[in-house]
Formats: sequence, structure tokens, C-alpha cells
Amino acid sequence: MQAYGFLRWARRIIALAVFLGLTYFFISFSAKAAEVWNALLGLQFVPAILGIATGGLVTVLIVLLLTLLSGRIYCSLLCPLGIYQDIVYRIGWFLRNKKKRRTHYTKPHNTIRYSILIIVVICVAFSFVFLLVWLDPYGLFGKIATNIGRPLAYFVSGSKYDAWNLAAFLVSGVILVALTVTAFFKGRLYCNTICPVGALLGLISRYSMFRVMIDPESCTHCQLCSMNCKAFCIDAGKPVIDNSRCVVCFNCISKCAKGSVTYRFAWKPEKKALSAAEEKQPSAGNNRRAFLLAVMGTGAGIVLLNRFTEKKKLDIPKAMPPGAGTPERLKDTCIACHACIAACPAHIIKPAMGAFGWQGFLLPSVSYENGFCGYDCQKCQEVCPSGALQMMPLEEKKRVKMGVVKLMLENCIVEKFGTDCGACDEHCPVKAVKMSSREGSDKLFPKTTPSLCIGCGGCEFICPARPKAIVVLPLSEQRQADAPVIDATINIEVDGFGF
Amino acid sequence: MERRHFLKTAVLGAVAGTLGLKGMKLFASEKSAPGAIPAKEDIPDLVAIMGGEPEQLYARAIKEMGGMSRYIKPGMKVVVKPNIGWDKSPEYGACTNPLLVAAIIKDCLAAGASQVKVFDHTCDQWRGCYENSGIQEAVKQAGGEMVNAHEERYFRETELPQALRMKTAKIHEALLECDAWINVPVLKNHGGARMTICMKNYMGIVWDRRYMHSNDLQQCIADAATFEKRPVLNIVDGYRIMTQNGPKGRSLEDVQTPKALFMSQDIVAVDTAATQFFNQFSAMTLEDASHILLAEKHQLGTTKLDALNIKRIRL
Repeated sequence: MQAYGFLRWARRIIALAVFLGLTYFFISFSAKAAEVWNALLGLQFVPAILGIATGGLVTVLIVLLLTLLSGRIYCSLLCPLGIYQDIVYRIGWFLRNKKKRRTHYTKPHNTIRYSILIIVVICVAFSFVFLLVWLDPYGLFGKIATNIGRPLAYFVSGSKYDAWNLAAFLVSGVILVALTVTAFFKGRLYCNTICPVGALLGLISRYSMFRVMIDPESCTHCQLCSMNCKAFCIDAGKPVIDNSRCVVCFNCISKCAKGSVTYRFAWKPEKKALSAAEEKQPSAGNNRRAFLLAVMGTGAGIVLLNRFTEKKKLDIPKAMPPGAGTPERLKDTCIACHACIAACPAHIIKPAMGAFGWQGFLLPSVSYENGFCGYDCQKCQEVCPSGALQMMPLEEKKRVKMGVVKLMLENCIVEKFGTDCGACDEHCPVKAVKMSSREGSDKLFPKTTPSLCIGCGGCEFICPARPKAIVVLPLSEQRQADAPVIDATINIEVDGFGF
Repeated sequence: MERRHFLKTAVLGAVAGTLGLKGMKLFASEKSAPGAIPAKEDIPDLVAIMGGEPEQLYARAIKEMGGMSRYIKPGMKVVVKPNIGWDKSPEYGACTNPLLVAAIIKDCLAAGASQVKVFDHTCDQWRGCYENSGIQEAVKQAGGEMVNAHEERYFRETELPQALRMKTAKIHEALLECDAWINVPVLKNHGGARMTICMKNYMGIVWDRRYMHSNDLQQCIADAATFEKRPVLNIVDGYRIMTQNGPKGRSLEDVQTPKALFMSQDIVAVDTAATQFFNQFSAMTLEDASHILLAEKHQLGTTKLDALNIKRIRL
């Protein structure tokens, strides 16, 4: 029993650390301070699947093997949204009187659960990630933490939050309220009904090596375990635990007075403990096949709908963060967790509204009202857990062309008023805009070399003219800009001071 | 020769007097290096020094200027204002040398300053600038305090009665509240203002730089320099100078390393001297960097270096 108490506390402590760490990552002001928690992003399952070709494979294998070994520990320890629901449920538990704390077994909503899973799998297989953007627990957590937690943190500290977006705030708010209410009353209902990760890992955890199980011999059907189950998955009458829904929280084990509930090796063939996996499913062969077909048909339908409504070549009104490639690639790999938005020290990455089509709602877009892309910065690429913002050597990132400069000289201060300015030249890291002399004038005028431009937006941001004399036009296909021709090094030696 | 020297010094002594140096201790400070402390009349108007490491250059120059205790009195709240405009490491010469900043802070504290604050309203993202310039770390090590300047709330509306174009400006609170400040720019060329030295460094104490850029930049820079609280010292970091693609710079090819430093109370004179020094590397005139001439019109100092007592030192 003591060992289980220890396991339970270990779970709580680890889960709390993960939750607080991830929350801190998303709301912290300093990207550097948040770096410590970066690794937790790399352990998230859905981003790892989307980025399976770009480094996600290890995480996917770890999570799958972990689940096969020990059940849905991932849902209890590493999923920030799952932990959040546990916290809410626990708070509810403290608020309720003793009688109302009791829960009871409910039937699984397997139809909904596996329909969602199948549809999502089909959609993702055919590069339509939109649904996952709205179902992946980590992505939802990121959206909530970034669009509600972050502005709140800035507000409390008295700072201005530049990436504020009302739509993202409201959408995240609705999700947060809905999740909080369900978690308060129904515990892990979301995880066991809607969450595709929960459904997938649930399929595996039915057969995991270690499972929480009830020994039917010693069980007195007292219901204590079932009354304390936040997943509502213990049917103490039978007695049996639905391991596809169990998130291995160890709460039931420590409640059982008889020691009948244990977490144990379950691959021994001779010990025939009943579990939901082995229970005879109410089978209806043809019905089931028809149902599967219908669900798969729905999935295919959604994929086709997307294919037909998606514009082939998108002219995007906003740039994408470096490493996104094309809007299509971004939509294929990004679950809008907003880690890049949280990490961008310049606050230029913001949730897109319609910039990338309806499928790209809330995906990261770049705009330069409050800053510009740091030349030596690749924080967004560093934190992106799905590889949607492809990590690359810094030297390569410095050449990523997010957009291209457009100069409208007629608006320029020097042209209009004949006074010095040069703010654009000042901010350009590659000298794609440079002040140059003009015959008949002692002033210097901006002159652009678009092939060098990387679209960082420094010039657009700082240009003091109204309307702007220099802007960055977003590119819907990021490529490498020309490398600047560096002047030869000349070391000049001087003897005197010159005066 | 001796006599002329003496006369010049006397004239400048009078100028210094009007600048409010009158009551200051002439001989002092157990903190100053052993050796002769120059008498008041021997203190040059401008020290130009070349050929040493940043701390050496500074130590010698401040000694020539009579030691920091001439400028910083015990208990004073001090601001040191380097150029930290860009997210660049020190070797690119885009920001003031952190070693120099640290040396000045230590010296201020040794002279009895109660606190030394350091800030700049940066161009690149501020955290990157503070960190990668090496200045944040240097300030911390030296015992100073790095303060924020990336939000409007740190700046307060201030009248500039002498100004022609920029009659009011939002100026950083640390500067408004300090007893003395030291201006420590790095010597660079500038695509807009042509040169960025002491006066251009004032842009980092002002919140709205777009206003300055769009309302006759050169005049606005001179206007900013009319801010009533003048720096007690202007120290130009010429250890590494940026001779092209300034003020941000693109690569190390933009940087020369003449290992120089200029120090003066006269902001116009020191900017003039630094510009003429710069001219040896890349052609530059005062007419180009016309804010220096405009500041002379504001009577902030003189461009006539011949009339000054200049101490030229080669280490």
C-alpha cells in the first residue's frame, strides 16, 4: 500500500511540475528563462506525430512504448490539459461535501470517441490538420495559455501585450470554460470522449503490460474504488476496470480497503483477471462494419471538402514565421499551440485571422506593427515542437526570405521634406536598403536591393513616414535570399588623431 | 607657448565655471591613482588617447581630466548612458564596449556614487541588446544597475525650451531623477545622421525616435542635446569603430580597431574631434553630420578645436 501512496505522490509532484513548467513557458516574459522548459514541448505527442519526419519519431516511440508498458501515464504526467483537468476536478472535490464527492461508473462513449479518432487519423494522413488544431490537448493548452494567460500576466505586471488578439482570446476562453466545467463535474470526460490522443493511447493501454486491475476473488464490491475514479471507468459491480479510459492515477488503489485493486503485470496468461478489453463486446458484425465505413466516409468527405475549398496558390496578406516554408506546409504541420507566439521576443508573431484561409485560423502569422524579426534570433524555430517552423542552422535562418521589401520613395521623409532620416537603412541587417547619394543633392536617399531582403520588417517597423514609405510584402514561398556581398577587409592604420 | 597655454586654460576655466564646476574640489580623492593630480588649470578641455585596452585608455584619460571625483560627488545618483542600440556582440562595434562601461561604473562608485543606473532605448529587441552587447553582465559585475527602457511608461514628458523643432520630448525617468550622468557612446557612421557619437546617443534617452526622424533628424538631435541636465562627461568609445554600414553594421568588415578614446565636457568639441578622427578612415565632414554644427548654434560647445586645450596621448 505504501508503495502505491508513493507512486501517487510521485505522479502528483511530476504532473504539477510539468504543468507549472509548461504554463511558465507560455506566459513568461523572457524567452531565455523559459528555455528550461523547452524539453517538455518536445515530449508532446501530437506535435511529435506531425513532425515525425523532423525529429518527432523518438517522442512518438517513447510515448507509444510507455503506454504499452504502463498504460496512459502520458495522460497523467505529460499532458498539460489532462493535468489541468485533474487540478480542476480536485478543486471541485475539495469544494463538494463528502456525499457529492462520490463518482460512479459510466459507460464509455466509444462511438464518438473512435469516430473522432478515425476521422482525425484519415484527415491527418491526407494532410488536413485543421481538426487536430481544435482537438489536440497540447495545442488547446497552448492556445489557452498564450491567449489568456499571457495577456493576463502582462496586464498584472503593467506591461503592454503586443500580440493581443481578441478573437483568439474569445475562442480560447470558450474552450477553457467548457473544459473547466466538464472537468469540474465529469473529471476526465474530455480525455475519454473527444481527445484523439486519449482514444489512441486508450486502444493501446487495454493491452499494456502493467494495468490497474481488480482481483475478483477478494473484491467485496464496496464501490470505494469506483467512487474515487475521476475517469469514471471502474465498474465495481463486475468488478472490472476499463483500462482504455484509466489514466493510471493510482487513486483507486489507495482507497481499496481489501487490497484488491492493484497495479500489476498483466501479461501472465494463467491469471485470468477480468478486464474490459477481454470482455465480450456486444458484437453486431455487419452493423459495426457499416458504422466504420460511415465514419471513414465522413473522414474522406472532410478531406475532399478541404481539397476543393482550399485555394491552390495562396497569396498571403501576412508573412509566416521563418521556417514555415509555404502556407500549405504550415497548415500540414502546425497545431497552433502558439509556442512561437509566446517565445517571440519581438512580439511579431500573432494568431492569423483569415490570412491563410479558414483552415489557417489562429496559425502563426507575422506582422510588423510592434517590432521586427531579430536577425540573430530563431526562438520560434527552437521552440516549435512539430517542426512546422523548421529548425535550421542560424546562418541559414538569417537568409530565410519571409517577405520582400517595397520602397515607395514618394512617401519618404528625405524625398518629401529634404531632411535626413535613414531609419530604414539603420535597421536593415543585410543592407537590402541602403542610403545612397544622388546627384544634385547632399542628402542620402534609401535605395533597395530586393534580392538581399529577408523580410525581417525592420524598415517597415521603424519608417516614420505616414503612410509608410517602405514595407515588406509577404512571400507565400519562403526561400533563401542572396547572401550579401561583403566588402573586402581593409585594416586602416592611423598615426594621428586627425585634428 | 606657456603663456598662451595658460591664457586658454584661464578662458576655459571661466567656461567651466559657468557650467557649474566652480565649487568642486580641486585636489582630491584618495581613490584616484597615486601620482600627480592635475591642478584645475592643467585640466585639458579634451583628452584624445590611443593605443591601449579600453580600461587603460579610460584610466589614463580620466586621470588627465582630474579624476572621477571632480565630476561625481559622494551620494550622487548617477546614470551612465552607453549605446546599447543593437543586438550585437562587442566585436561588431555596434554598442559601447562593455569593459569601458564597467570601468566607468566602478570609478563612479569609488567616487562615492550612491547608485549607478544604465539603460538605453534600444533599436533591436531590448533583451537581446542588453544581453548580447555584454553590457548587462558588465554592469552587474561592476555594481551598477541595468534599468528597463523598452516601454513608454519609463519616459516622462520634458520641456526643451531651447529647442527649435522638438520642443518637448519624453525622456527616461532615470535620467530625470539622477544627479549626474555620463554619456558613453561608441563611434560609428550612420546612414541617417551620418555620424553617431555623443549627441546622437541622446536618441536613446528619448522615447519617440520616429518623431525625430520625421522632423528634421539633424535639428532634432541638436535639440535633444539641449536637455537641461548636461552630461558631466562625454566619453567616446573609439576602441572599435564602425566605418561603414552603420549604425547596425553587417559584418566584421565594417569594423576598425584603432583603440582610441575621447573624453571631454564639451559635447560639440568631442563630437567634432571624433568626427575628424573618423575622417581618417572614411570621408566625413561636419557639414554632413550637421547636427554637430546645429548644436554649436545652440551654444552647446565649440567645433573650433584649435582654440581648445587638447591633450593628445599615445600609449
